Amino acid sequence: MKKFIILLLIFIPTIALLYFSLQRNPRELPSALVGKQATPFELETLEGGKLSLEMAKGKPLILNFWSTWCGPCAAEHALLKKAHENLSPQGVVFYAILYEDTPENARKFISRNGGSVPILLDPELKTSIDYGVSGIPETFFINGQGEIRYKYSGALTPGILMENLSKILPKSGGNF
Amino acid sequence: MNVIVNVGNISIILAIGLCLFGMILYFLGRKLENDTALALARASVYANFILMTVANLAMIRGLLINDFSVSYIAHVGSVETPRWISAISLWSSLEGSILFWGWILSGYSAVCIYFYREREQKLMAWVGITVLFVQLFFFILLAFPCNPFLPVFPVPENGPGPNPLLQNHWLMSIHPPFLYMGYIGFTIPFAFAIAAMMEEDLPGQWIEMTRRWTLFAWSFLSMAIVLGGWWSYAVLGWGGYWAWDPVENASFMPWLLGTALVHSMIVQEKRKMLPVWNLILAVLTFLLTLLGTFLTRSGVLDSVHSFTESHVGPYFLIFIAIVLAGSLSLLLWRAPKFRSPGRVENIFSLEVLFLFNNLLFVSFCFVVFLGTLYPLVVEALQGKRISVGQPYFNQMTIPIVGMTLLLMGVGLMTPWRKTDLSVFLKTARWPAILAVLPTLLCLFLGGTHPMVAGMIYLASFAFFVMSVEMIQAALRNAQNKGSHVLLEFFKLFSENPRRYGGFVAHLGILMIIVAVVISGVYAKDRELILEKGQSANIGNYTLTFHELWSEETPQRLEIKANVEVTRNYKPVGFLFPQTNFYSGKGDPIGSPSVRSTLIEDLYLTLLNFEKEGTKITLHAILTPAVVWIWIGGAVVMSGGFLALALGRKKK
Repeated sequence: MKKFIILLLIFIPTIALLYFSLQRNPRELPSALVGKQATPFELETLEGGKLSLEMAKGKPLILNFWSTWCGPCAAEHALLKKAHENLSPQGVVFYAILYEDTPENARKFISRNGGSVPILLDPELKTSIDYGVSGIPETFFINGQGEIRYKYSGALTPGILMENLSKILPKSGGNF
Repeated sequence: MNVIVNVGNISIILAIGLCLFGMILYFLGRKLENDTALALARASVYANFILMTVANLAMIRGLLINDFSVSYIAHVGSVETPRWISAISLWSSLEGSILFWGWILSGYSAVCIYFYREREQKLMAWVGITVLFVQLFFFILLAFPCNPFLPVFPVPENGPGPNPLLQNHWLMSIHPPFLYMGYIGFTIPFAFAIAAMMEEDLPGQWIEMTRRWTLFAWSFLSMAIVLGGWWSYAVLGWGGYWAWDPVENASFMPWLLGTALVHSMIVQEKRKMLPVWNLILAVLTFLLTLLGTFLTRSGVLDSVHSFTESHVGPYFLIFIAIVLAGSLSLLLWRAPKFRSPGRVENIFSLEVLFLFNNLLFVSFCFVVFLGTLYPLVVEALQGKRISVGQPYFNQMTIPIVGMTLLLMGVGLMTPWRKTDLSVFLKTARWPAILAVLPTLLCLFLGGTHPMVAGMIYLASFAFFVMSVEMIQAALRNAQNKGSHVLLEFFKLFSENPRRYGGFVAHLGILMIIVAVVISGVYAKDRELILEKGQSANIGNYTLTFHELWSEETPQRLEIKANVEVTRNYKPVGFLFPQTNFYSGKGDPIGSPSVRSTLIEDLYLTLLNFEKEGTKITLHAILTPAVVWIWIGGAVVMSGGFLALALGRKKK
């Protein structure tokens, strides 16, 4: 019996640890910004208006950094477009900040691929620098209190989008 | 249908069948004591080697002729890749490397089973079952999650070529085979340990039967680790060779336990002690090779070795669970029967020092294990990402290395059973005095770091213990036989190959340790921005940037800088650090240019350049003694082989 317990004491933690390690993504780096208040910004949109972090206050915000020259950004575009259509009526705010790219390129991209996510211009990269954007696409999940709950680097997948969206929805929130 | 696809898949499926067939026959043959069944079981082990040889040769042929209708070749081949790189692409990606693994494993198994075909039938039946079980796992991987022989349709006209990092240096053609020869070789002592427990081989036949296999695998693994460091140094461009990267640790941990095993086997052989300990070490070493493969092949940890997005993780997990549960149960229920008949007679004896040696190597392994897996544990329990860096490993391991060095010197002149202190002190006198000389030389040359001086003293002490013994023995023989001392010196190796081959291996380890310490403490580096015609200094060297140009080869675009090197104002030649752009592979790969001498290496990487070729940014690193690490690796391996080859002849 004693030996059996020793066996289990070695076996279970070892296999559990290895099992856990299979579930993780080694390329994912935690952002120091997670858990902190998002830095405020007010940026011009592609259409000439202005949008700010303040304006999204009280609502869950998905903040995406992208450009037209980035392959993975194009790959996730369809997902963002669809998510925006389905989720914005339910109060989720989407901003897409253009990173190191020209408004003309962005306009051409949208006229070709469609999409109604508001595109914000960051010509001096001030906001991108504030958010520590190192490679694109990067997506920040910010809750109604303005706190960054998650940062994802790389093209979004439906699973990742929905999993992290649940982190920023109001607790008593409706059924998304 | 494609010939290569068919040949490959049929070989794998047949091999799976033969594993099952062989295991059943071994079991029945053992139970019924039926020689025909055992002979057939052995034949299935041989047949598997033939099948794997056929499958591997088919793959190599496919790679050479660019048969893109085979999935693996469509994935790693390309028309532009030089042919020799195409051939070694066999191990450049996951599926191919598992295929290669299967080949070496079946080869080891076949040779071992053939070698002992007439000995210890009962024990060998379990050895056969164990190696076939391990083979079965790898063949299942080949048949399902990493089948390299899937048909591709429509057949692409060209492929992307292998990972650029792997086609950047010739070392890639030898590091993986050496590593596999080492890693996979530890399957043999494991199989014998399992067999010994199943058969209750109390006299410890298995030790005598596997000692050579263990030393063989260990010699390859030693060289493979050094080659891996060398590759990293020559290719990755950061100027270092070891970073305590999880993947490096994954190969280092089995080496540490393997080293403990190589030593503790001697204790059981000579003094009938440590039988349970040897069983544990043989099992753990094998488990660590599996763990290392799991960590690197399933994308658990990120590094140059990991092949992410593969699906082998769960398979490996299940296999590790089976091996762990099976061998742990045997160790818990069967191993206690292996009571040691030998007793320690005196505290100051070789067997006790071997025990310390084992404790040191196991602690070393534990330190590395903890540093490698601790981040995973923290993340599993607290969800936080942390990393354990160099400072932890250096701080924890330097004292262990120091103690190992001391023990090496003392152990080499301590006899079994009991040491006469006055004799010991007399023997130790000369090495202890002589070791002062290299230490003074080191201090004189400016090596005043206490750790460096201490390590050099201990290493020199061990070195002189060995040389004094060999010179005295050679002198004695020369006097007795009236022949030349030098001749007698070399004859010593064939007289007692195990001891003196061991000396050579130890000498190699000393070289590596000293070189690692010196190169680690005294490396200098500078980042230099040079305009055309400008010069800058590092150490005694002056670097002058002359020109920048590009060359196009079929598989890549090379940007090269011409840097003239002078040392103490005397020209010593030119270095050409370069950056390679592989089509369709994203980031450029830097290719450092190195001037190696026995004293120091000047290492240049091209960090940045202006497109017009007027300005470059260089990273210049001056590292003393680094070349001795590679030489030391070769010396370790030759020592191991010397002990094996000559020892065998003598027998």
